[in-house]
Amino acid sequence: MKLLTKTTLYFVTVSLLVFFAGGAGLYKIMQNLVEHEVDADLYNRIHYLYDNIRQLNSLQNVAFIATEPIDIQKVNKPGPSTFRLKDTVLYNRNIKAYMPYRQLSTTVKSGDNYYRIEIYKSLITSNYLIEKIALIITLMLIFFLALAFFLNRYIFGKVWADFFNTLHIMQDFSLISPHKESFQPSEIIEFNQLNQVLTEMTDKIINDYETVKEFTGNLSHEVQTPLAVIKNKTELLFQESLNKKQYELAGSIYSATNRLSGIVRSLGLIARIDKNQFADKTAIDVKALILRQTENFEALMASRNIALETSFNGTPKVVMDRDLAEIFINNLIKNAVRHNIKNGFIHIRLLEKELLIENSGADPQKPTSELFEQFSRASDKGFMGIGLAIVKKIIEHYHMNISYNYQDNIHRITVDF
Amino acid sequence: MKLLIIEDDHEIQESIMAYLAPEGYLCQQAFDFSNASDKIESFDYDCLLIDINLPDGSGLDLIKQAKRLKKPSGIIVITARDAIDDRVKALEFGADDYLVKPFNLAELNARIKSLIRRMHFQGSNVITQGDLRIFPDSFQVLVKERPLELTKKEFEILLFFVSNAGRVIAKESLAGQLWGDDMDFSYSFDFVYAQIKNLRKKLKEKGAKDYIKTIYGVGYKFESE
Repeated sequence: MKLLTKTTLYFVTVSLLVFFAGGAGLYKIMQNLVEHEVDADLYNRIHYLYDNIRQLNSLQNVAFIATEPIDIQKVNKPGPSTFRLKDTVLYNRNIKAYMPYRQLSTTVKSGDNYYRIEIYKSLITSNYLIEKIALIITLMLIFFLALAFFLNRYIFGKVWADFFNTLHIMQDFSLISPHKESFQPSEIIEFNQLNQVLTEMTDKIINDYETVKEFTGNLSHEVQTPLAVIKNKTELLFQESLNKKQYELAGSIYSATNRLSGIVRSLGLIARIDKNQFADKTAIDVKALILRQTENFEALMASRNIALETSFNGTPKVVMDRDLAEIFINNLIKNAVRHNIKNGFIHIRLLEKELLIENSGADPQKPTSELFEQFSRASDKGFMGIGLAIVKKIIEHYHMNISYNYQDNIHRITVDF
Repeated sequence: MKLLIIEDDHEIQESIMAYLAPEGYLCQQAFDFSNASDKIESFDYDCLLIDINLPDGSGLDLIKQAKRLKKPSGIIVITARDAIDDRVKALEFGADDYLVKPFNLAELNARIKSLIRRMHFQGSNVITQGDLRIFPDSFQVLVKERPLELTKKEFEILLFFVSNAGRVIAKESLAGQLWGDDMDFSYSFDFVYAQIKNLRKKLKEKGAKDYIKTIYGVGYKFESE
């Protein structure tokens, strides 16, 4: 959920609750006021009648002020002399409908007679008043809500603008082309603090990254000479008349040196890609490259009875460094051969914008995305883990896409040019 | 055969000298640019082995110098792995072959032999080894004058063996020979075993001697006599 959506949601919920409660309360107060007014008027009038009837002993002399219905009846037995209020309806002959009225009733003794007085006040006007008030309150609330809603959005945009600025800068941050980030100073202290923390962090990350790159680059370069010496001296040692045990020892040294040499070489390659040292731009004929590379693996595939099937439905020309292109395709095919099974298969399909390589193989036992990570190895043999890391590096270098799927014993790598 | 080995690292120099010694070449050493330049100027060599990275100059200039003086030398350069430009330039300037550091000595030996063969026996390039006659240009092998059918990889292995006859060759060197150094060796060994098994069988069928001896834990040795 977006920040604005979340805050708006909270704001609207709380506002609605507050406004609803406030509106209801206001309505109630208004209603009470109006009712009180009606009742006060009724009491005024009934007291006037009551006093008149009691003192004058006769109805004839009572001066009626009859703008509203009044009902006075002689009753035989005395009723309660208390005043009773109630809501009722009366039938209006003119408009042929029942109309709401407020009724106040009591019983009065005039001489020997008892009279029951019922006076009414129409609620039409007061109800109308209350309705109008309610309408005005509702309209006001809607207006305020709308105003607050848009104001909130406006203020939100104003206040958080610097934050989103920072966010966009950070989203574009990438170690593929790292550069120092510069944030615009904000009026808001917290955002300035955030920017400062981020600046320090990215500087540190870039610095560390550069150091690591520099280190691997230097390491792979510097280590080559001593490795060459060990390799060559071991080869010379082989030529001496060694016994079986000594041959085994020397052989182990040689194998280990070769593996180390391979690892260091791959790290050096990655460092060189990082340093942009493959600047050659050639339109690579991918089909020709695949044909050449698969030929190199033919004998190896035949020895494990792996069936190769290629289909070319396009002849893409991809602009990249010639050596990197070789390494790229070589590593992909090598990976397919390497992680295959006896009597397995490899399918290579080339389209105008896509290269698909499928091969049979065992479950890698880990998420496929991890297979592109340096030193992540599906098995302990060799240094192939770096092969896919190199592939990924090349993919990143040329802003292409790669995906790795494993399903039903089939490994599937898709490259989008 | 007269060779000049131009390499600034003493240990590597010594290793090359030691490995090439049984071949009976006359090897001279140069450890820096100026010394190498003087020697190229003053003497004629059959083969120059030039490390591009020298402390006081570039081996590329030595290639230019040799070509300018119209020296009849074959030239093999040694480059660092990350110097692809050097490799391209070296070949442009007239180098015949290149090796990438760290190389193995068996390969260096094979390259030097191949270069010398190409220079000295143009057209009739043939290697005789016991009862084998190998024609590197036409990929043909005769066993006691009878042709032996080999696959391309088997031929490459045989040629590599013969070039390093009498030497113990690590299986890694053979695997590297077949697929280049980038191959993950441990995986391709099975295939090396299979290829050599086939090669041995084919040689035996034609009545050749059993030249290829297994050195347990290391690799193989092609017996020269």
